[in-house]
Amino acid sequence: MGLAERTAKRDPAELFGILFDVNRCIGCRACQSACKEAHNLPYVPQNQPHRPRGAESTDWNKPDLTPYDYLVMNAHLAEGKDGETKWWHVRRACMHCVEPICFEACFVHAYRKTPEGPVVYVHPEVCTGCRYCQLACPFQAVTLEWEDVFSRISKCPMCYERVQQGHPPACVSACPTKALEFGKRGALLEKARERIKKHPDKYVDHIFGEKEAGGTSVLYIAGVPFEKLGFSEDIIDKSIPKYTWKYISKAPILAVSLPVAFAALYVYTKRRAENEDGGH
Amino acid sequence: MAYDERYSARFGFRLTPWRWAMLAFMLLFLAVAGYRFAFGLGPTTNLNDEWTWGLWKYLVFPAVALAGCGYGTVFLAHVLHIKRFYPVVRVAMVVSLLGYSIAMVGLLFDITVYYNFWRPFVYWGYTSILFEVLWCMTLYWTIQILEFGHIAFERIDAPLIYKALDKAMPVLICVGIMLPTLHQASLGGLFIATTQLYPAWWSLWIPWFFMISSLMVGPAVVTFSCWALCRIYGKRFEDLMPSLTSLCLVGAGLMAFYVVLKVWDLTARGAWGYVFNGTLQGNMFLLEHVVFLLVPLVMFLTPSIRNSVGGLLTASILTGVGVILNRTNVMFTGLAPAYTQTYFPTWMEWVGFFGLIIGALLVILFFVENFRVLEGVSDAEKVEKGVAQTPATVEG
Repeated sequence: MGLAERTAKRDPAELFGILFDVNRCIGCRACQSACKEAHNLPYVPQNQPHRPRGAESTDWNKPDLTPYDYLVMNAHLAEGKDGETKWWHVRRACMHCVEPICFEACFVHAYRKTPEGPVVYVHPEVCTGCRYCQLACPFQAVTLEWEDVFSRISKCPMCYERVQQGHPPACVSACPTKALEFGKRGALLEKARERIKKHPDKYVDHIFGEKEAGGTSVLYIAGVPFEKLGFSEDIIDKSIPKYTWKYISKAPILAVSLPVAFAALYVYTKRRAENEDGGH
Repeated sequence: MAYDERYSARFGFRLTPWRWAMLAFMLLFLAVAGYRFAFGLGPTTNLNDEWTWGLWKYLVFPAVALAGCGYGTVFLAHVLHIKRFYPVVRVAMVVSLLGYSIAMVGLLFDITVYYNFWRPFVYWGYTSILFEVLWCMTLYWTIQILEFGHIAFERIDAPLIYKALDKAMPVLICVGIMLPTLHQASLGGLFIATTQLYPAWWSLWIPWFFMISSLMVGPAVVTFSCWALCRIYGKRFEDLMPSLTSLCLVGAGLMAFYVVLKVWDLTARGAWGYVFNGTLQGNMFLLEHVVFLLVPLVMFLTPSIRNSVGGLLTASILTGVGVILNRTNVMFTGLAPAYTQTYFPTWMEWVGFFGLIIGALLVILFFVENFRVLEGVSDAEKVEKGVAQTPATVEG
């Protein structure tokens, strides 16, 4: 991947994204099976006595992401804005941040923030398996193939081959209720705002992903506060790579200036020490 | 003892029952290492997608922090040329070298695709803080090996190599202090990215906290190492006290600076509420900063405690534990609220953990017995019997 792509200024509104409307989701999990089919992922039952690592969810309603589930549906029982207590179904997968920290944190460029928007783990062959991307991800959406000897990362690539050609990802195509919609991030945000404005009684006035972690390409709207849907309230609204870059970009200055300063001190104090000894 | 016969006898390593036990443990360690490299992290460890950095990654942080004794002491002794610190600088350098060795081997254990360990050097992921950490740690490790070579070739008869190393030493020292300064900070910088870290610890200043704490723990580590080595080899620890008390005063200054910076940071971020909220995290923060930072700081600053062997040693141990506790809190306690899954290491992870530490201890003992590391101390027995003997200090 070239430096040009890495440093290119991208308009977040022009990136492809997915809008998930929790109110519209009926929990059929068609997206989940479409995902498995599109990526050829194996079926591993949740209730297996010796469940592989990552599928050890204690709560069957809220399975975790695993190397063989790029996408899972979680169900949460909560009281909605309309006063009705019911099960809400939430799609969990990579959020495809506008400025992804996994991509910034990778020291071998195994990740790519594609010009189209999807964040793709594109070079597993160079991955060292340091797992810093996993630690850094604020959404814990990156999983590792723990059962392999040389474990690699696995994550949702937002069906990059399809998105590249302007087609929606497999999960969006499979959705029968238009709970999942595909499009440019700017247009999706507009659509979400409009829907919240139109039905203020049905939607909480919060688009999850508009500002979280500096903005994500996957956006959520719901009729219930997001804390009740298993989303963390503590995710900061700033872009994390901005913080890390602010720090790391200073390193070269120190790397040059410190040895020079030390050398000056070395020469100066050595002379002084020799003079104290009686000198030459 | 063998230690004093360095130049008359051959290389040797006397095997006491304790050392046999340690070597036996190393066999177990090697078996676990073989299992880990053959079958991967999945069957060996209890790591999961949330607790993805476990015991082995953790080991890097306290090991490198305590190894901060090297660059601080070398700076005082060899860059600023303060002669008072000459007697302890070699102990500091050897302990530091082994601390880094633990970290480097531990990292190789921990990365899943270990045959790709060289890739970061070639693929140049300059946006990653880990990239800086790895470069600096590898270069500094190499430099430390060369610096130790300068000690080793005093004994091994190869004048050309010794002269070359002797010429290179000033450069090695100046570059070799810049590198740890950068990566000690960057090891903390790694946690800028983990915004889920408990707010009492998460700060944009965390790199500087890591750097200063690695510097301030240095004198404590040197004191403890010197004391332990004197005990093992029957030397008079009191001979080193003048050096060590001065060194610990420098450390105390840094500790005071750390406290001021921490107070400023918590105030600026308005995070005091996270300290006094009675949660496990808040209490651990208080424990770390009161019992293991303020108490040893006061002890170091009190002349009567500082000048007594017991007082200096106790304060040093408290400081060391404090920095270890800080790294533990940042990696485990502080991240726990963000995660739903649990993590406790398997027995194999523990064997790997202690195996690396014990291996390093054995190497330190070998180095001390065979090279001029522990200098400027007289034999405890001879002094007690009243035999007139001047300690062979570099001073004077």
